[in-house]
Amino acid sequence: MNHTTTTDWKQQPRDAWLAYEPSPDEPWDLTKVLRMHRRAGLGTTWADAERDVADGYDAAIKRLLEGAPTGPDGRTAEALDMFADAMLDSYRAGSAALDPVRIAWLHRLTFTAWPLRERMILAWHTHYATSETKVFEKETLVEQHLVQRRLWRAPTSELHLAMLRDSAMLYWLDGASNLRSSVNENLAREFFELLALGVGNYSEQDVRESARALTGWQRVPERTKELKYLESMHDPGEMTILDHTGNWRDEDVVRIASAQPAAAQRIAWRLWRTFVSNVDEPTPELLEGLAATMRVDGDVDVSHGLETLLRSRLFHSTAYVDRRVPSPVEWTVGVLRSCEAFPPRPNLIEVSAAIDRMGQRFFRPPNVAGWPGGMEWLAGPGLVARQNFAAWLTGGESKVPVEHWDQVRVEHQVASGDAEIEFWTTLLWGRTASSEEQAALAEPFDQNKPDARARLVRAVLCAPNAQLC
Amino acid sequence: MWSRREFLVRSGAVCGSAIGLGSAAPQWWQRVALAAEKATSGRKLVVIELRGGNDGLNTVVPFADDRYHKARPTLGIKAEDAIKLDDHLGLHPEMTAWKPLWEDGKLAIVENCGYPNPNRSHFESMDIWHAGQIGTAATSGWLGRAADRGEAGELCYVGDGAASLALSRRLGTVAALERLTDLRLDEGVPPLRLTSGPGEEDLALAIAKRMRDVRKLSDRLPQPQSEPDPTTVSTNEVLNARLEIVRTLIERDEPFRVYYTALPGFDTHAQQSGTHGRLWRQTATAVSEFLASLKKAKLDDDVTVFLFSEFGRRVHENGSAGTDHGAAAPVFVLGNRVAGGIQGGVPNLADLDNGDLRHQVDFRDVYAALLGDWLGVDPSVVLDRDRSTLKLFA
Repeated sequence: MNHTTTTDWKQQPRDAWLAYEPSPDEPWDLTKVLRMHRRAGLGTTWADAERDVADGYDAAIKRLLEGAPTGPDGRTAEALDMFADAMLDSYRAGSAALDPVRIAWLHRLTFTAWPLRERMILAWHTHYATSETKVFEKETLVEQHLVQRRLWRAPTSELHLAMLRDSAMLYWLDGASNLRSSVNENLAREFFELLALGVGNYSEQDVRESARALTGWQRVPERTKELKYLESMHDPGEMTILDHTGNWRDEDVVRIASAQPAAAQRIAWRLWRTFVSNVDEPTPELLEGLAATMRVDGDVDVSHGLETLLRSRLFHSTAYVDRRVPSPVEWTVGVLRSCEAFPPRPNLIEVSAAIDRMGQRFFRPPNVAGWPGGMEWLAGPGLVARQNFAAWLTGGESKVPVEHWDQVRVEHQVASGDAEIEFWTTLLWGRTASSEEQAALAEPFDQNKPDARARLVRAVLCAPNAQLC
Repeated sequence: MWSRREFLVRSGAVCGSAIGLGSAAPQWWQRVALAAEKATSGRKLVVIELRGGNDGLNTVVPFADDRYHKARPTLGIKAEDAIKLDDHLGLHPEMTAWKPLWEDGKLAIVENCGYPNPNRSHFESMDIWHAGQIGTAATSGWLGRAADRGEAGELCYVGDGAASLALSRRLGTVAALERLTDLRLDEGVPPLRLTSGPGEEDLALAIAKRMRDVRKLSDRLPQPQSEPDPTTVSTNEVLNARLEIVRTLIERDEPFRVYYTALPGFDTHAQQSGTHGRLWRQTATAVSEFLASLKKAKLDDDVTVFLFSEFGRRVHENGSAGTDHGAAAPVFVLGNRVAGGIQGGVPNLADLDNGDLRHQVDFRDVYAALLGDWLGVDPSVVLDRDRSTLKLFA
């Protein structure tokens, strides 16, 4: 059987998370390579895709999980990271505005040699959504991002606890004004509902008692970024949280919550949204199947769950392919990398503005639940902005030279004519075009026009298929 | 039982949204039908979602109740500061823009609105309000279902992000924009040629449909030379900017009958007083200016404004001079045709449910009145009830 349908995994949830192994029926080929990079990476250059086919599955998946030695423009991973850190440092030193940080982040994404790490950091950015609209000390938002970067695949309890002691988070969810004498429930509630467990896995009493356990953290003096724990502000009384009674503090709330069965499901759900589908919810059996692999010693092993998912039969099958809408950041960066359209042409400041118009802005999620994702990215303005970006990138205004769109295929030894249509659809849709699609793209494609290739890429990017992965 | 409209459709007097000509119905009946059709088809509903859980007790203040002042030692609004509505209730002092509307009988307040077993999660509770139903996973919205019946006309969302679940529908699409220029396609964007995908359930097909719809709308909308960037609009101007777009679209007689917009910021857990006052000054001012501009255009008889939030807040303030998530709260209906006054009683602070107000009016009764008595949609096709117990329209 070479076509595994969605239904199969729903009926065989245990098999879904077993390790994929290449076989004559399910060979490791270009389609699978492109699919992997489109869904778990940030697009891929044609050369890297060909390399992954030639090196075989083991080498390719290892490179996905552990990062490649060099980025898409040939720079070494170390050089890229140092450059990105230095960029961030210089902005942090000089400016209180977040725009330069956004550009630095976008720069790192565009050139990264470890796209999986960046994808997880983006996932945590929405999971622990915190917005500049309320948190005025912008540097605290940057610090929060750096903690998520450092702990991107740490056991869940580590990241949870770091976020419960994070200055931006505690200002955002009022944890810094949650004191023994005056309890504020906001942080405790959102911790259970959005971060740790999900609705239905805790009671109103758990919220109230946990709010008491989380007391004691304050910004001292008020409205500065520094967070301090003051024993005198902590409620020393007895609390019962999820059936555990004691004199609890924040680390106990995290410990008790992380050992709940729902804790692994919550993180498994985040991984599903990030790498499988943000349109279809997992069945309870599929979700539990993944969650079960992540429960270790009363904690949730993110790293193991990530590896299980990305090595799984389900992930490498056709099930759920094109059932995910990449976020504006993922989509845009994926397009730049796949098309080898590297800054300074186009200019990342303009790219960042385009991503804004698509509905995403770093450090400015719409609310505490983060960006809703899925088809909601493609409401009217989002769709218009993606098409306008494609027109801009392949038009003169982006300063990407018109010859670029021919050079890419020449470099990869693709013949002109039908072969280049196939090349671009394979690269940007993750599959070859049907004969109708091929014909629809071929009709306006007049090779004699100087901008014929730019227009071809634009049409491929403006197609509905290019909005899915 | 058929709704009035269904009856008219089946009797041949009304055909879709236009009046059928040359039907077999007697002429007098056609005249009646025509009058009925005209009476509701031009009507528009503007919904304003107050995001975050508005503190109802500090919006419509029970100033005569000592329990209120005891529960709100720092946040409580003093009797002398409230804008008196009667001898028990008064509006927040920042809501002066609504005073003339109240005096003219154009403001209806439904107190103690909510639903059984209140959910204190923003998202779960907002889903319940959006869906207009409780207990089942929400896949469509109350206004979306009304539109699917062809009765509530087309829907337009004005705000950031995707359209609210309240507008979500199975048939047809929802227009969504934050600025008029959001839907402006660059000249270089090629026409849509690729509309087919490999499967029936293919998302690409759904995207293709959205692309076609958005292009149609884009071609029709006014295109101002420049508009402010939403991320730089002052938080005190958000609602004005959004209602200005709604006004433009209403004045252009666009085919929308329901406009939906939102104002965030009502999740006031800490240092609530200044924030809440600013939010209500903005809201009251923006709504009254919106209604005044419609009056100038002689469209004020056609528009009703409805404001709600996903829940109210705890009766007792918390220790950070804010309030935590609560339950029942007032909703507001404004317009020329509205039956002004207060319904739903006064908040009963003597009988709380875990520190929260108990609901006296089911929010679906408010929806039923808006659907049945304003938009002319049979509520039973959308909700679990066929009429409202409230009388919101004169």
